[in-house]
Formats: sequence, structure tokens, C-alpha cells
Amino acid sequence: MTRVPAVLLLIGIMTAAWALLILMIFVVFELIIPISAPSGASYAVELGYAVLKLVMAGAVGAVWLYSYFLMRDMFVRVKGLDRTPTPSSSGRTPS
Amino acid sequence: MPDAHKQGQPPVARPGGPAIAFALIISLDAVYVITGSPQTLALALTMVIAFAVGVYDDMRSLSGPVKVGMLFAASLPILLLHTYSPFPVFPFVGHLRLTVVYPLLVLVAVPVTANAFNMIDVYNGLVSGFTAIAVLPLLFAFLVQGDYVMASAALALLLTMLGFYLLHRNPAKIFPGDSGSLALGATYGALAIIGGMEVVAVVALLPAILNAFFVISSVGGLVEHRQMKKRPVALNGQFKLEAVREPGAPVTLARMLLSDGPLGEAAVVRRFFVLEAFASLLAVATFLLMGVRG
Repeated sequence: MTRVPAVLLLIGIMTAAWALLILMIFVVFELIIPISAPSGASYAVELGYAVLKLVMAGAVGAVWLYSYFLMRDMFVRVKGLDRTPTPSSSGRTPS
Repeated sequence: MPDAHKQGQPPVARPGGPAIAFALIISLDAVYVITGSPQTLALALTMVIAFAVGVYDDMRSLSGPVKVGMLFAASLPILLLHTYSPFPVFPFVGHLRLTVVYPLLVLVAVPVTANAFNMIDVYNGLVSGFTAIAVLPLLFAFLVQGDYVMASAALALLLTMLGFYLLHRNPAKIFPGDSGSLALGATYGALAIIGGMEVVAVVALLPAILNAFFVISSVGGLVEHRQMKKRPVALNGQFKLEAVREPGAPVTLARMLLSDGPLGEAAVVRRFFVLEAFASLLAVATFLLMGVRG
């Protein structure tokens, strides 16, 4: 269990969440959405590009959301919230 | 109702929602009369509808999904009065054209913010102090942009919250109830949408959003705190709050903050305020980055 204060860890998580949000917005709206089919492409090619952009944006969104699950689970693990305290771990000597 | 976190569980007045709603109606109507702006009218109507849902919740205790469903109605004034711009601004990206998707986002955004505020209304002074801090980056952004109508509305929310905080802080003399917290959340969401500060608001609300996300993802859905099978936080013999160390207990921000050891209620609330102050700084940074085009 880490000795880093919970507030500091949560500030770190918030900063990461903020950076990931900005990065996700940039990747989706600046890199994926502007992708366009070559001029004069057939309807099927245009549709293929649209589906590809949707899948890519969905994948980025899923990775972004999954990163939040990871941060939650990482905090629970490093702070030992998932471990039930035992008498021996509380420092008491058995009578 | 009894204050469950205090020795002897002293009775505390509830709900304070009507006082909050009354103060907001008076101040927003004053801005409307002076400016004639439909923006403040939409803001006031959104708040009133969310407040009405909250009053019903205070009396009948609605389930999570029903509450969210009813709160969709609170978004309607913004859509019907067309007091939104479907061209939101994002950092490094600039203006986006979301004419089809944006009205759907408006419909979802107000219930989301209202519920996020409702979910952090767990300790004396928390939701009122949290709102007062969270509204500061919006007020800053409106003033810098020269949007004095929205700045006045943000100031009305700030002053209402500061007044209410004096009675709500530890030891509380009044609780806002669902009518108060839902009205506050809806007003905040409407302020962000109508003022075109959606991303700034999302960042300013990161602690509340992360709390909602962590709770929903660990409990497996929208569950009222009364209906949670395992408690995230318990009160020990010294009337201090401590995190429940058990697999499967809901992961709330309060439980995370208490992972260092037991704390008094006022100390937990101070830590929440530290997180919210940091999120507000990130929100100001986001606003400044909105001028940067990729």
C-alpha cells in the first residue's frame, strides 16, 4: 500500500483524465473525422470511409473510457481498498 | 431529518431546495427583466423543472433511471427557446459543426449534470461549496468573453450558493435535499450549454463526473445510495468516517479520499474542495487553450 496521500493520487488521476479528454477530442475531431474519400469515389467507397471513421472514433472512445476503469482499479489496488484488514495487519499483538 | 454522521443524530431541516430555487428565480428573473435575454428565461425554466422533479423525489424517493428519465424534460426549455449554439468550441480543434448531434447532447447533458451534483450531496456543505467553486471558471470565461448576461447568471448562482453554504456547512442547519441538488446541477449544466462553455464545465466538474463514473461502473448501474448492498463509507466509534475495505464495495470519491485513514466530516469536505479547486484551475487552462487551433 502506497504512502502517497489519497488527495495527491486523485489530483494525478484528474490531471490524467483531463489530458486524456483533450487528447481524445483532438484525435477524433482533428485526425479521424477529417479523413475523406478521394474525390470522385463511388458511393460504396464513400460509405466504407464513413464506416471506417465511425469504427476508429468508437475504438478511440472505448480506449479512453477503459483508461478510466484502469485508473479506478489502480487506485483501489495501491490504496488497499480491496483488502479486508486482518488483526495481524493492524499491528496488534495476539493476547 | 437526522444528520446520520453526527453523535446523537441531531435533526436538520430538509429540503432547502425551495430556498435555493426561490433565490435563483428572483435573481435570474431580475437579469431577464434588465436584459430581456431569452437565455436567462431558458436557464430559469430549466432550473424550475429540475427543482420540480427534485421535490417529487424528496417526497416519493424516485429510482435512479426514473429520475434521469424525468430530468430529460428539464432540457426542453433550452431546445424549445433555441438558446444553444450547435457549434461548440474545443481546445486545439476550434469550432465544430454538430447541427444534428448537438440537440441530442443537450437533452442528455442536463440530466447528467443534475445527477452528478445529486450524487455528491453526501456531506454537510459539500454540494453548496462545490458548486460555488465550480462556477468560478465559468464566471471567469464569461467575463473574458464579454458575455455579461451569462456572467450575471453565473454570479447569481455563485451568490445563491455562498448564502446557502453559510447554513449548509458543518454542522449543517439545513440540507438541500434532492430538490436543491438537482436544481443546482441542472442550472450548472444549462449555464454551460447556453453560454457555450461545455468543455470548460466538463473539466470543472471532473471530481463529480469521476465520482459518478466510478460509482456507476463499480455498482453496475444507476442505483440510489439507499439501495446499495454494500456501503462505501462507515462511521466508526469516534464518529469519524472511514473507508470500507472490502472487495465489491462501491468506489466513491469519498471512499477514495478516506483510504488514508478515518477523518471527520469537515476534513473530508475540505479534501473535496481541494480537488474541486484544482479541477477549476484545469477548467481555466482549458478555456485559455480553446483559443489554440490545432
